[in-house]
Amino acid sequence: MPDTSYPQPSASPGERSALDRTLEPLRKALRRAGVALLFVMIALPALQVFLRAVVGSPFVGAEELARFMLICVVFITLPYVVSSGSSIRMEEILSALPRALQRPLRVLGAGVAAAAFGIAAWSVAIASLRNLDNATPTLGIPYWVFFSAAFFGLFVAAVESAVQLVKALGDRPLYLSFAEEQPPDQPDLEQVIASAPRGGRSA
Amino acid sequence: MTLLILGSFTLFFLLGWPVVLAILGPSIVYVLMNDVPIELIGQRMAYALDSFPLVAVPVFIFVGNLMNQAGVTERIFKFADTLVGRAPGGLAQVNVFSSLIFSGMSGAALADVGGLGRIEVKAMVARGFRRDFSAAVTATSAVVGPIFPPSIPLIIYGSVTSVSILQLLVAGIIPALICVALLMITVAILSVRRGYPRAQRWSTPREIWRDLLPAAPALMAPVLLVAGMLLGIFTPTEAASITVLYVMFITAFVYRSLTLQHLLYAAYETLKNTSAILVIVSAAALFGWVMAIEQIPQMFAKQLLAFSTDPVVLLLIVNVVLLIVGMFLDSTTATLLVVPIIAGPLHAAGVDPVHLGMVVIFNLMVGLFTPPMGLALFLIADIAKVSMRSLLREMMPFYIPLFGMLMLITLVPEISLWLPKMLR
Repeated sequence: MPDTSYPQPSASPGERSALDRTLEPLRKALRRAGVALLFVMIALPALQVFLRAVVGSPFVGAEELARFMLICVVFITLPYVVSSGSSIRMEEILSALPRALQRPLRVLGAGVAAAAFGIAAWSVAIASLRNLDNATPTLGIPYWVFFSAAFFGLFVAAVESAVQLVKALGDRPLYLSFAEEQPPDQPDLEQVIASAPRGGRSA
Repeated sequence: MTLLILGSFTLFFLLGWPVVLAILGPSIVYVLMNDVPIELIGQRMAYALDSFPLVAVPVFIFVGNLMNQAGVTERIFKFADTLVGRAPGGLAQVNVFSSLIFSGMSGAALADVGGLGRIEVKAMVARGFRRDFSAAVTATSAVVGPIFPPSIPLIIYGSVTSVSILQLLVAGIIPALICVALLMITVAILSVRRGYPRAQRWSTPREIWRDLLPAAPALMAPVLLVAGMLLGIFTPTEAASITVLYVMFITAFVYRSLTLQHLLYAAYETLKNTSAILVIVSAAALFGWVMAIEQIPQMFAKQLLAFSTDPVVLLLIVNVVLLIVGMFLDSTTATLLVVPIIAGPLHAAGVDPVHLGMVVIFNLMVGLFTPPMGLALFLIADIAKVSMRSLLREMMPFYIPLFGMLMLITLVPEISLWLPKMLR
């Protein structure tokens, strides 16, 4: 994935602030909801192929439901992206600046992020209120359902950015790493290559 | 106002702020300053993701993460080593060849560099290759990924231009194979001249068969994908979903390497990557609306067409623009911001949108590895622990096949269009 982020060192669980500890249950709930939605979204198109090609009775509205799930997944996961510093960015120039200049820029960035996500959340809330009677054409899912996911994701992203603003002011690490992010094991190609029967060198 | 918006975006981007913020910030200010109803921000952002083809993006990301976690990558690498490890350049050839196979499942250049690249460099150095050469081979071979199906950048391009994603994915097959061949020739020439190590003998058919068997289920994934789409059995998004089930099946029941922990780790990685990419798609929809109101695409189209209406000249101009853009922006952002501006005039001049898609994506990928600001250069230099100077010195010979391929894709549309035309 185009992960071009170069985040500051992440705060280890022991270094987390009171704000982080307060938000932790919400973060965990959002991550788990995101995983559940992701699995359903991935399964839907395959289920549709099975129903269409094997059972001969396609699920009308499967595409609509998958699109709806995508909107929910992206926005529900946005706070996770913000808190873990996984946003796509180019930090080479910022990192090359003197530290005295980096700090105010990080403070400003976190502040602008909190404001931008906050305004976007507010905008979605208004859009949701103005579309209370509208629903998707096939399945009749009310618009407010996915607008709510977008609102909630953007609002919590604004809160996460505000937490980062507080951390930036205190010159503390902005980003967090979570237990689920520790890879179970890494593939070791060296061993694979070493086990090759034709190993060894020849110029 | 136009200059203010574009200037703010550039400034925020260069300050290292998240791309989504660099796009969203100026767009929100524009909406607020021009008394546009505020709900437009939310509507544009949410509706931008209301696209079935875009559902394929997280699904393909998940496939790549799952394969990395469940040991599929190692089997691919071992098979590639058995097959081409004796060729001049040995493990360097394996690096190029396995990038093609791996990208056939993950579909992203930086995933190749960041994931497989890390261990490829380590393995090559352990085998006696120079660290900077290993980094250069890893970087250049990763260019192939985003033009060989599946390709996340091509799906994004298709969603922006409403071009058939199936045709775009199929269009990349021949250019990707030619590019791999050119890179392998370059590796062979350099390796012979420098006396780089390789396997002591060619593999016997029995050895190839032995390593093919464990890798075969993984190798079948892109075949299943392409064949299913070509035969009209499923759409690209459905193909992505079927591929996930297939990979889960082989890793759980054939390889017996998939655990719940692997599955969840792959899912969390996918969530982060998906949201990081698609929230930019969401914000770019609002930015695109602002640009349309300011008539930026129309102004650009007018100036470009006033300069020339010859498709070849226009494509060459676009190549220069994209190369510069690709050095600074990641492919998603560049596609979302630049393609809506250039697509109109080029289409009007007679350039096939599928051909343009190949030019755009290949060009942006080359841009990722082009100095002074190619994003992937920094990543690979960091991973391989080499200086930028030594990396660039080793990259120099590889720019010949890369730029040669770019010119070939640009000037010979049939390379990209031959397969898609069969589907029309």
